Amino acid sequence: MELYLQMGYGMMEHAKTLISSWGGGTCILSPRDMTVDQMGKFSHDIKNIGGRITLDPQFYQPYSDHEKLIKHSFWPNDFDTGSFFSGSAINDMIDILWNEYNVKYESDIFFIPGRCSDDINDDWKRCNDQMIDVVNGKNIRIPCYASLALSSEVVVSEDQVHNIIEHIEDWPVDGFYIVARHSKNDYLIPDASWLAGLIDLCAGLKLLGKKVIVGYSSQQMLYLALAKVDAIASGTWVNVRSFSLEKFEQPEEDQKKKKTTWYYCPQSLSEYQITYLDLAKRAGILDEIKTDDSFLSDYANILFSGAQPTTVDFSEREAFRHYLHCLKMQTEYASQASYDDTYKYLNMLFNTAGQLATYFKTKGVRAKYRDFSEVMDDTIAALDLFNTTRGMVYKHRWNSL
Amino acid sequence: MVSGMDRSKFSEIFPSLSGIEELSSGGYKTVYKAVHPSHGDVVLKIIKPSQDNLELCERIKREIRSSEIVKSDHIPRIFESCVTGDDFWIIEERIDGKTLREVLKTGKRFSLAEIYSFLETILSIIIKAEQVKIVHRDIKPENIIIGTDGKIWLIDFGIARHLDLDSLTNSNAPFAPCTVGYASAEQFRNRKREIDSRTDLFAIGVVAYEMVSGENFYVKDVRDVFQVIRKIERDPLPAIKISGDPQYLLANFIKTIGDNRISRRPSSAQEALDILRSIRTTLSF
Repeated sequence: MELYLQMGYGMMEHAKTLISSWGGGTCILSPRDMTVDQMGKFSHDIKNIGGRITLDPQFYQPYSDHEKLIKHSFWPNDFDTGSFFSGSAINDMIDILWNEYNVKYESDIFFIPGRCSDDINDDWKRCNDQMIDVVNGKNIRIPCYASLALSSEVVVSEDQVHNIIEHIEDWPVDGFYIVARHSKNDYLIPDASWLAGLIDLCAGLKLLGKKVIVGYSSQQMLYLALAKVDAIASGTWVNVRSFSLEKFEQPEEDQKKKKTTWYYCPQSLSEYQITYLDLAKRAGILDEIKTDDSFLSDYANILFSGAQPTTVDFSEREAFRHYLHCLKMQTEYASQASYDDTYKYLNMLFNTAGQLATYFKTKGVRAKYRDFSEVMDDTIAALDLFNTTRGMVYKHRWNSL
Repeated sequence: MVSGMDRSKFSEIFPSLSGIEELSSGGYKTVYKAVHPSHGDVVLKIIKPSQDNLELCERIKREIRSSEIVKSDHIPRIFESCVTGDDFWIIEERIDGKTLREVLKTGKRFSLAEIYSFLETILSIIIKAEQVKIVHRDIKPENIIIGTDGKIWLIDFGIARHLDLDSLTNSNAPFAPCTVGYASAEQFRNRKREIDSRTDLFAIGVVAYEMVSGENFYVKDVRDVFQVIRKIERDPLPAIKISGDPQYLLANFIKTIGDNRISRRPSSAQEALDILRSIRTTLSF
């Protein structure tokens, strides 16, 4: 499994630094956060350092009034469900997205716009079929992925998930870009049913021979490696690590208010505010929270140099880069040589992380809403259910997926 | 004309058959047993299609065609047939044995070896059907014969779907031809696009479960066919304990091929057979 960079507010420099140090990687452009010119320059820079580009049209809410988003030329001036899908508007939108954005940025994958839905009904099918038909009629020379933007109601419903899988079977697309919302907009998802639904959907698509990318992901989404998902996408602020529709309604720069810096502890899959690292130092467990050298991340070394963590210069910049670098390593390692090995590995990873986070908590070191131990049981339960329902076929097909 | 014939004309129309005796009669056909000088024991099926039932005529032709092109030693051979004009009859190999339904009614519990062998054989038959793009669509204990020598036979391709041919079922029909309790949701809901050998895998899973437990999971404790349908759409087949299957792998295999969600079943009968064989060493026969 790969880690893609989900572009968001203030992320361009981080992306360039990381892609450069990794020697490659894929960025998902965000029209919500970037102007045409910014995306053009950024794509050029990323291409020059060996990176790959794709653009998420973020057409989740056609009625969005997000100022920056609707300024983009591909966004329809007037979205009326009837006329949009029966007239030329959809055709115009795809033409602009292709010619004025994806061609210009030399995109490596074309993401087909997809509206967020809380019900997989005939309307959803008709609208998406129409979108796919229009794209299929174009001479798009790069892989095309359909966007599946789903509400929590869809993800937790076994009927709806399988309704999707059965309906999209014949779509002439190379892959799917999934963004899924949780009803409470949680960062880490304490909901085994939701997690089970998402991985079941991913597996259904993978077994059809399609590529699958799951956007807006946190470290918890490492569990998707068991479905051999091709990539998860993550970014800096939490609003690019979990999907919420509000992000596409609110004014931008909402992140500026949230200045707290968090340190990602990869072995506990949890994040800690720096003040809590001070407590860890006092409790004598700071070394256990330190990232192992095998992650090859120097970004957070200063926190463990001997000084009190809050007194050192560990900024958001280092925090984000450290998080994304460690997550990239974990993402790559999550898919093992065989299904059984991956299942065992993920179980061990999550169990260990949950136990460590719990242990840290007993010493007063709390990760608050970024504490993996709070979702460990749900995550492992989703893995176990997956193993029961799909394990046998997956074990057999692992090398061909 | 045979379909409206009386028994006195049999010797005229079927001069090579002797010892003709009625076995059963119902619906649109009467079945006789007989002896053929070169084929030995045979079954004679006289079909009585009504004049206006073109669909039935076409189904019979397809049943004959299925038996001819699915190259399996576990399907009775058709020696002769006539499907022209009003004459509809078939002479086919007679299997000496009992249907699985008859055996189940005796209360027999099948051993691990018998269940494994059943699965291996029936999957091999479906692989042959898969190769010529035919879906049986009516796998159930009544259509499985266990020969006196223990050999497994699959009979009655009467509602088989030929994926290369036009469907005979009206696309607007709410329900497709099927046996409720063994037909998958995509079959009884008439979702033609999804029909392939995975539909047969579902029925095999349900039959295998019944061989272990003695009862059809979807039919037990329900009042009518609509409840059966609801149960199939709602509940996956449970994993069932089988003696000699300590890791529950055979149980999980049966559950997997009989999963009520088509996307969770193996993608083909061949894949299912490969998986089955991969767990063989874990079973204590």
